Amino acid sequence: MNPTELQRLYLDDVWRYVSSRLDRPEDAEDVTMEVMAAAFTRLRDDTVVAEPRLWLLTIAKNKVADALRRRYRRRETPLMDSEQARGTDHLRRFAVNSILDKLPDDQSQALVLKYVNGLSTDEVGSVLKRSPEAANSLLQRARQSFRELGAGTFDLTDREDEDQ
Amino acid sequence: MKNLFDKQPISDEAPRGLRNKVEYASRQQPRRAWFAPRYRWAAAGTAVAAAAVAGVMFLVPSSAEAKTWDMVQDAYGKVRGMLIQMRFDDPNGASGEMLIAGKGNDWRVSFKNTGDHGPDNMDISYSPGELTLWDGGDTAQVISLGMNIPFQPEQVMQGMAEQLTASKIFEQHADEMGQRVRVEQPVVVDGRRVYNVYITDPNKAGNQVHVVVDAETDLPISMKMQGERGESMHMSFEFNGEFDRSLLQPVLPSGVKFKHTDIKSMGGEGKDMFRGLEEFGNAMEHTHDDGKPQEDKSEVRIERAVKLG
Repeated sequence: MNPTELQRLYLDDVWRYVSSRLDRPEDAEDVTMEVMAAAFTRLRDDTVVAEPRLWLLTIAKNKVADALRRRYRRRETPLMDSEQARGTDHLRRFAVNSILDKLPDDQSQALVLKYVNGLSTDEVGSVLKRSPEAANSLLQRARQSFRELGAGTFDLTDREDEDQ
Repeated sequence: MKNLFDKQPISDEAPRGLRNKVEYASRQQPRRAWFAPRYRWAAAGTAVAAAAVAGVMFLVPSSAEAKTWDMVQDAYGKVRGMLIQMRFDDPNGASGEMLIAGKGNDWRVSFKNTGDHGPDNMDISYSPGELTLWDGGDTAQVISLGMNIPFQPEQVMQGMAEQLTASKIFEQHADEMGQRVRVEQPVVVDGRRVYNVYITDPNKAGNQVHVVVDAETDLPISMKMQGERGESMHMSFEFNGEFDRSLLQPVLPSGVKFKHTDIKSMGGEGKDMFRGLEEFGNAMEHTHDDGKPQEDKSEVRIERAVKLG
């Protein structure tokens, strides 16, 4: 697979993951660009990629973790601008992100990969370097933690997807 | 749970601007070291110009401050030597330090990457007849040119100021970006009369440029730039001063080997490079005091240089 084909097929997947994990759109754009640039470099070095989508999401996971560490070092508090704060959708997003931020990193990653990127539990395990059983267990814990933290904010009674 | 995430107002598609940038990057060829294996002598001049322009650019006032711009232009015309030191930090982990020094025919440009990623280190220095190029690798190229490049900082700076004024590029830039310039009354700091210039962008909260200018010469002393994402750059300037001449010498890590090359012994690329340097020298030397080029005498000079070789 060449870089042009890779970005055509999977850029949106990377964007969905990164923009779900970082609050500021400009940070999300920068990190997405870093992910794609790193992937292009590897491809040009003749790296053979069996599962491009999962491979890219693994790179994205690591780049986001780097970005979050940098943010922590700077003690930076993400801000919503006033325009964003006006919309109900953005308030909901802000609330979801606030809860995700409070979860352990692996739980937050697992939820985003599962529900934003639509990966199967096995694929979540592949990106997070866990066995399918461990990934399933991680997702269960993540959902439970999310429910507890989101109680009173969201209606989280739907359970139709939990065992998938 | 799934429904909640489905309601997230996350766009399914990457923004158009990002998509364009990624598409562009995907078509680029693998990056080579910046001058290996080909000698790209022009990089030195470009680096000087780019860095100096960066310094000048942020001094350019909006059209309402044209008088101040004239002062800046006049001030640069009087430069006989310069030392510019710059440091930048980006929230994404890129950071670096750059030095630009020039005095008479000696000059040096160096860049040190102090961050997680970004360009390679480099060090380019020139003393009459000899160019030293290091691109961060194990070997530095020392190229004997058999000729002198009459590089004069004041010519570069003056020419740059004229170009910038003539093209109105930066006035347009300021208008388009909606930048606002505030020039304050002079104050005395450490026995020196200075005035502060603040440039802000009302469309981008957090963007600010603060320049401290010597009130006697109208040349900048320091400049701090803060970007909206937390990126920052600090530059300090010395003009016409007696700075330490060791700053004009290349500073390379221990273990770097020097490879000496005489340009006359090189093949086709060497001839191309020689020709390029010659033309560059002509452009520098054959300039009237009023900044306009003289009659083209490049053929004569090439012939003379070959004879000297």
